[in-house]
Amino acid sequence: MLVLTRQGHSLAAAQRTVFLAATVPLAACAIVPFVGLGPAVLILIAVNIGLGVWTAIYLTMVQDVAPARVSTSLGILSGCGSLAGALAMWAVGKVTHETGSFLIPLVALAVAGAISAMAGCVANRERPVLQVAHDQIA
Amino acid sequence: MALKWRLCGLLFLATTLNYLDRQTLSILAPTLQRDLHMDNAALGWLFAAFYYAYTFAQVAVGPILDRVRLRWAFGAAVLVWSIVSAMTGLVTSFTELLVFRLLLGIAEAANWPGATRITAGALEPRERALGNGLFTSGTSIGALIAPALIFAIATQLNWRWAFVLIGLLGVMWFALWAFSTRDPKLESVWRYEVEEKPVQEKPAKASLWRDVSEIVSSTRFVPVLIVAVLVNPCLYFSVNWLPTYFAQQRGLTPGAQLGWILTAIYLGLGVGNFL
Repeated sequence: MLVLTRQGHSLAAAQRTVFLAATVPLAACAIVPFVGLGPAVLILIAVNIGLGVWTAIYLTMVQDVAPARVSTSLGILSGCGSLAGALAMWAVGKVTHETGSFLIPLVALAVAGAISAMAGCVANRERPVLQVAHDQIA
Repeated sequence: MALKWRLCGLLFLATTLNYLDRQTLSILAPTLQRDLHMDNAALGWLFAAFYYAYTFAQVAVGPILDRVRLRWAFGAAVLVWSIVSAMTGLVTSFTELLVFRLLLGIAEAANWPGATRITAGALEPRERALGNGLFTSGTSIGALIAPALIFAIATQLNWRWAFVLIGLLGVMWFALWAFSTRDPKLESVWRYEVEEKPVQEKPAKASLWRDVSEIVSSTRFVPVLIVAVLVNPCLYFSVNWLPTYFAQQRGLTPGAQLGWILTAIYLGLGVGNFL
């Protein structure tokens, strides 16, 4: 992010670029059940790199939703996210218990990646940067 | 090192503990399934219970953290979740485990709303992705060191001591936080405000409803909401279910090999946080 902004890209453009690039490995999640242990581990490493990028940029997006109410924004948005996560954890337990396989959860992860990429691009459209009162902290 | 980055370092340590505490159950899941006679459905309920509590507590704690001095509020949250985590080592049944997961979910909910407000107050906008990435990398570092650390404790002592010792790390963090955040220069972080709304134009008592309306009416709210409801399940799946996936689908037993695989995978999460 810092490298892209130093090269002259706008903050929003840098966020879009990094967010989209991070989505690519997530799509590979769907093939994890069909490959050997080694490739599966490599794919899951790549998936987690993507998830790591997503998380950092997601938090930056939240800070821009309502800059004067960062904690409240994060509480609402991540509360909804956590609820979705809770339902997903329960669903994974139920599905894997009934099917004896992790295929459905892994395919769902890939689909979630594609949808999230589109939403992330919309959220990172160009917009005026708000002036924030920063006391200079050494 | 600049004070603002040292602050991010402390947030990173808190986030690492946050994930270590919640990961202890996931890492020990195969062992706990055997000792407490739980199937995958029961395990799913345990994971979900944590996130249900976490969800509702996060919504409630956000407005509170926007109105209080974060120095002590944030520190107290870490202390409480660490104590809850340590006490999980005392459980003897699924029901008791469920109760402690609910309590842990409530206590851990303050981490992200608190830490994001702190980075918003301490860092310039262009630095925030890095600052957020830095403290959020605690999730991956927590997940990264969790397998080796937890398996080591569980092997040398037993799974109960894993919960207790991991929880006690949070008590040590609290002492470090109290000592390290005394600098008066950090005062602006604890009372973070945005200039575009001068203080005198704000109503004397800002209502929660007005705050929520402002947030929901933002043009960025819906797309960020979609990202939130998709990012979290993906992340939770990775940190909660992968140990069980490798044990059940790949036939790996809890121990060194599984520990190294999980370490490599969660290292990827940490790398991603810094990109």
